[in-house]
Formats: sequence, C-alpha cells, structure tokens
Amino acid sequence: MMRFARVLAIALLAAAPVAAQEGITYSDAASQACSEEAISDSERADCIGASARQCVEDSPVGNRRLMGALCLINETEYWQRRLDDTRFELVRSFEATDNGLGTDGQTAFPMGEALGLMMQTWERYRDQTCQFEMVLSGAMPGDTLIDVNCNLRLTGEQALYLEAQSGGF
Amino acid sequence: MRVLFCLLLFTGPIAAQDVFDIEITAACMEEANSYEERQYCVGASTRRCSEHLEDPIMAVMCAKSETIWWEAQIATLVQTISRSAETNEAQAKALARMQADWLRYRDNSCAFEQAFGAGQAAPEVDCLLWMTGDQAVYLFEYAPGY
Repeated sequence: MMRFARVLAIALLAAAPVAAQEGITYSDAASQACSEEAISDSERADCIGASARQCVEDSPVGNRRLMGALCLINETEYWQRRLDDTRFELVRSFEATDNGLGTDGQTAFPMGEALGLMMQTWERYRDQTCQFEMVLSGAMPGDTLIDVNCNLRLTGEQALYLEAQSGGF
Repeated sequence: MRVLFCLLLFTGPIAAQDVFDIEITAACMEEANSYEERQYCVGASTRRCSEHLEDPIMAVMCAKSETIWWEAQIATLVQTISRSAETNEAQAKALARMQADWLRYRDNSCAFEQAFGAGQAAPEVDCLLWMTGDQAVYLFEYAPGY
C-alpha cells in the first residue's frame, strides 16, 4: 500500500482575501468531489486539502492565520468522519469472520483486534508526528497552524488508506 | 530427491541475491530532486527483482533486503537531525518520541495487513517496505544536508 506523506502547501494562505469579516465559508464539497473523481491513490492523496484551499478562497476574514487554521480544522473533521465510518464498517464486517475463527479448521489473527491495535498506535503516531513538526518549526505557543495542517494531512491519509483496504475486503 | 530439494533451496536465495541490487534505490535517492521523486525511489531495487524473478517468493527476499537498507537510512537520518547544530534538546526528544510511536504504528499497521492477507507472507513484507521507505523519505525533508 502506497502511503503519501506530502506536505500541504500552506502557501494557500497567501491567496486569502484581506477583507475583515467574522467566520469562514467552508464546505466538504471540493475534497469529496475530488476524491470521487480520482482514479489513483496519488490523485486521491492530492484531494487532501482541497476543501481547506477552497475555504480560504471563499472566506472573507481578516486574520489569515486564524482563518487558515479554521478551514484546516473543518476539513480534518471531514476526513475523520470518513475514517470513523470506514472503521465502523470494517469492524462490523470483521465480527462475522472473527467469530468464526477456528470453527472451519483455520486459525488466523482476529482482524478486529488487528485493526484496533493499528488505529490505537496510529493516533499516537499522528499526535507525536504533529508535535515533532510543531517543535521543529519553532512555532510560538498558541500558534497551531503547523499542528492543524499536520493533523489534516495525516487524518486524510489514514482515511484513504483504510478505505483502500476496505475495498479489498 | 532430497538432494534435488536441497539444491533448489540453495539456488533460490542465490538467484535473488544475484538480481537484488540496492544501488538502484541508492542511486535513485542520490538523483532525486523532490519529495515526490524520492517517494518513487521506495521499492526501486525490489521492482527490478520482480521483473527478473519468476517466483514471487523470491521478490519477498528482495523486499526484506531493501527494508533493511531503509531502516539503516532512518537510523542515520535520525542521528543527523538530532546532532545537527540547528536542533535543540526539545526537538531531539520530539523526534525520538515520534520515531518510537511510528515504529509501533508501522508494526501494527503491517500486522493488520497481514491479517487481511490470510496468513500469506507478502502483504506484511510489502507493507514494511513501503512504510519504512516513506518514513525515511519524510525524515529526509528535515535533513537537507544529508
């Protein structure tokens, strides 16, 4: 399974409108449409960040860093939902298989347990990776832009990875 | 019959070793100028094995050998970043914590793929190669002088 750990171009913030206004205009549509049209793992990986970029373009907000962070957080929630949905589907499909383990003369590692362990360690890996990127960037305390960007990238990648795995189940 | 079997066992690994050349991956990394180009280097030596070996099991040996090479790259990259004059103590600790959690995640992720693969060896081996290579390429971004 090819994994993509590309860094999202945060230069998108430079294109933000300067008009000062409260709130952001966010929609999942750009990332969703992009991933529906994508025909390869590489193209699907490029969809991570599409809605956040659109959000930055559409949102007339004065504080560009705050606005960028809010757009990134909103899209992270979108990929987290996709990740949770796929995980739920997989757990459900594994229940029947895992319950039958040993009854057909075959032994195997319970897939539900394997999935749970992977997700548990993925969350820690995600948190520590984003912490590493924060610390290495020399970001000031309270400046979460690096952290939210990292969270979006890793959550999106994990959602796509699990979806690709579930497609083969 | 037993002699023939032993002969087959003996000639198998030799054939894989003859075809496997880590220099293909190493040269790819030397020449790569971008993150995307470096990502493509992951599996380069193993791809050549797959092209030349009829038995896919032999390609598994190539993947394992290439994974060991990427693990060595990670060890060197971590050392390079940690000892860099630009890296402070907090950053070195964050790097060590990330690497420890990445290792657990990689192993559990590949165990999950193995569970999917109905006990075959290849899914886990393939997963270990891609994940190890990708992490090395990721770390490379933080060690530009390496």
